Amino acid sequence: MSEFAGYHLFNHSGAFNDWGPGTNVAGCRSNKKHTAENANESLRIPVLGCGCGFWSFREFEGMLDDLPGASQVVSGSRGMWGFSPTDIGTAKAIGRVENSGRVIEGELGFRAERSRVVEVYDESGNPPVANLAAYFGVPLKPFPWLTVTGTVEVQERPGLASRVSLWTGHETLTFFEKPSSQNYSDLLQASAESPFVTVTYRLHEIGESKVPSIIRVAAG
Amino acid sequence: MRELREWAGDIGPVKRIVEVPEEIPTEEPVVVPDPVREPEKVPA
Repeated sequence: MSEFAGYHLFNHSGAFNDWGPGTNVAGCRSNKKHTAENANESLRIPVLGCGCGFWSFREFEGMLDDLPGASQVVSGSRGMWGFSPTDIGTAKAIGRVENSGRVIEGELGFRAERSRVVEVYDESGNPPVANLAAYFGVPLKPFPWLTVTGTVEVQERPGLASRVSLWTGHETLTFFEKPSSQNYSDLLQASAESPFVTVTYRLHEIGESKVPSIIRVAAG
Repeated sequence: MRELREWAGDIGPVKRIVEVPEEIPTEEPVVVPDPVREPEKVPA
């Protein structure tokens, strides 16, 4: 993946013609002098002090807080609805985009002069999302969760979620799982069958910390 | 650097502004899902 690739949430707030198959060139809705080809650097999209350009965020988790089952406020989610000229009116879905041309790189993501949709994600079998991928001519893939493989150690804590440590050989990730959860049962079963367990997980932005939580345990 | 500290939107504080060449897509076969027709809603 390119250093300048990001994730974009396609939602209901924009116009259909902002995004199309292949490479898209941004326009500006607030100032007609802001153009992709403007020789004046200060007026070329994306313009500092404006919101123009194709928006995308560096971390997949940053796109999740408006999707079902993802109620936590997470990184990169602020302002998605604001000035972005990049939304499409057909479905709510997350895609990965490759940015090019003039690109403003922020700590959370990018605003770009040009952007191309390369993947669309879905795990719900939602027909409009499949149609969105077909429209762009890109593959429909499962959410690109983080994955980690290691050995599992479980510390039970009566009345509290158990502490699940997963040691990869060079770092330890710590999760908290209720003993009644399906993930917990799957973890115990997987670790009984193999010394190494693979889990997919996401990071929740809580204050200054990023707290991992298990999405699912990979089948052995 | 003064300009870089101006408002940059919610992508966070500006780290840099760069010119990125477009990467030409490879010719690898891409599996594209068929469009799915949603069932028509029948008025009650």
